Amino acid sequence: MSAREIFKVAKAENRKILYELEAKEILSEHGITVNEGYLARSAEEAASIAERLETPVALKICSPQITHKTDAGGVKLNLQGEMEVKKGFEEIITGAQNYDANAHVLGTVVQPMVKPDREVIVGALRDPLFGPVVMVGLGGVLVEVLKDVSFRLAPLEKADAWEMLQDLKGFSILTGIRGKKACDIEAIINVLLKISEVITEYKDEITEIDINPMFVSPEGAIAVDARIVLN
Amino acid sequence: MNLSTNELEPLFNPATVAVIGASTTVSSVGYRTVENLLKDGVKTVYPVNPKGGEMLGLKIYLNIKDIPEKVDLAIIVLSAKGAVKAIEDCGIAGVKTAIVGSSGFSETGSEGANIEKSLREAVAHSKVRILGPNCLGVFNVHTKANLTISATMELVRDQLISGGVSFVTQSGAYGIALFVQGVENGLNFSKMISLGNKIDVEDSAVLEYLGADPETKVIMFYMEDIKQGRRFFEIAKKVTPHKPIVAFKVGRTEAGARAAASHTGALAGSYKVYTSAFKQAGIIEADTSSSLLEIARVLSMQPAMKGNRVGLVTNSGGLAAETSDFLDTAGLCVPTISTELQNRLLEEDAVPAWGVYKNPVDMTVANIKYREWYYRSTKLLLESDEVDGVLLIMVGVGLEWPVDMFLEQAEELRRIGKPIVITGSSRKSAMAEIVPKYHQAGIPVIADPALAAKALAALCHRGSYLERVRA
Repeated sequence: MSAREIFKVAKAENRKILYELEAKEILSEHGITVNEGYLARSAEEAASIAERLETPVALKICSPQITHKTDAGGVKLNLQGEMEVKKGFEEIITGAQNYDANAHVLGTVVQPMVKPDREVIVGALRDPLFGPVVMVGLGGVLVEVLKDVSFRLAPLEKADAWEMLQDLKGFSILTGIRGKKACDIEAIINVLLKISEVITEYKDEITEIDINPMFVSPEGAIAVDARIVLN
Repeated sequence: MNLSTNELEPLFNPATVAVIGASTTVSSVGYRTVENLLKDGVKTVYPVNPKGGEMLGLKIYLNIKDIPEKVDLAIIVLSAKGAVKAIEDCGIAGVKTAIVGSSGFSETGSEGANIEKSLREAVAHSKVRILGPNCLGVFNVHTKANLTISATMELVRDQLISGGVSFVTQSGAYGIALFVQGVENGLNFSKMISLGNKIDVEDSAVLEYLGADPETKVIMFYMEDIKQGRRFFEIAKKVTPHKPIVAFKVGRTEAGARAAASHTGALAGSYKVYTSAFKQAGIIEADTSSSLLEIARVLSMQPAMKGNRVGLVTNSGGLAAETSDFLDTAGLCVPTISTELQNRLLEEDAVPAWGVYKNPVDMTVANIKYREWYYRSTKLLLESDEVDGVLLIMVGVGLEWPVDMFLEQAEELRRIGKPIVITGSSRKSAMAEIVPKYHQAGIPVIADPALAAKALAALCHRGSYLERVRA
């Protein structure tokens, strides 16, 4: 579906927060590499998707009411084989009901596990004074404590994207320390430029975008989870 | 509504000025404002008060509408409600601009906010462009016109030297205090403007005006908030390739968290966005009001630094060591100079023959007889390709500062095109005599070495920004 079609569906269903798969579709449409994912509505479906993918999988709760998935016990990683996947699915659904009995649960998203390397958070929002703003930061769970993030106003030029990365205290983690190879910085810059395009283009529809985490490695940058908040 | 720079011209260069709320009571603001206007720079002054009469040799008109010629600027010193009526009258009289010095608007609470709303409506309807309300006005240092409601500016009238720094302040009283502080420390201003509540003329309009003003070479902001952030950013981006902008923003701690549904929203504190916008537009951010003044002053006196390497010439190893720490914190470096350059210093009699001079170049003796050393070392360092600027670090018990040599050779040094700044201290009376002479030669003296380091860092920031935009 195109972005505008997705907005229509969400509006009809009275949702302000797009599902992970919807957000990823929009971002992917704009040239951001995303980790493929498929919605499983049952344990059997989850197992069959996992079999098709042929890799260990991650399962993530899919519910419009549950936005902090990890807090709700809604994320299970590295599941292999039919038994594990089915059990994982069931545990997530039960956990979700315990977390929020009123939540409408569609199922779980099934994704191939991505080889971990380094993590960044990339986002965009609309500031009441300055308009569209793009953010990048060293990611992971500690981002809200360490707050190693930098901002620039969209639309971004390539030089802005470079400078905002260099502003990060932990920039050298991305360029490689202790013999670790550098991440594909150009790929990160590409994501920043593309997210700048998205927040600029959909100025009436989108208010916030989060790509957290985005896994970065020497091979590239891949959005593992994404959220888009509508107006 | 976006103003054109032409619309602001009468605010800065009015020929005819009316004071609505003029008063014969000598201690009042209505008297003072008329008195200010009569000092200089204004062709005709019209006091206005329904009681009529006469003051300071001028007829007091009963209403602005009675004035026989078109008025460029009306300064309103009535109550808040009186100001609303006055604006309506100004509209009918065809007055172009007004400075509303009255307070009692949104800054006082909800009743004031309602009056401010009425004022906005009056402004929209009357087509008068207003500065304020709750502002002090404008001071034009070139024409020496005091278009403010404050007597404080008059205290430094005799010390005013017109220059290139234009100052936009959101705070009235503090802004004037900073202006006076600047004047007393050798900052040569072009214009000062106090914005008040900014319901009409606001930061971005003034920035655009000053950006186009040939008399303004450096623009400095003391700000609490910006009304039209994006517009300000866009205009600043166009101005900074030609003129430096330095801003001090107060209010960095978060008063209220942003309501956000995402990590990004939660992390994007409003101050963080301001500081990023400044960076992106090439605006130099000052972290204190003192550094705001000194950075503006240095930007108006010295060229940008094309790199971050500083040569230190000093008579005090101790102060040089302390200063090096500040330079390092400010992102500058004090590189060890090459053996060739070290030898040149010795060969050309730029240093005492008994030392080793790797940078800092420490003369170790504080002696007037050898003042040529300070000048020659400075010149050789600047002419080499090993430093991008020189900081002279001087302590003096007597009058050891080699001021005469630098004064005589000011042109010679200026031609090299790299900045020179002096820091250090001496007795108060010595400083009072020496410092103005250096300023005359165009070399800023900043007594506090930490502040001097920040000023040099600003020159360096300017240099790298210019390189970035001209690439």
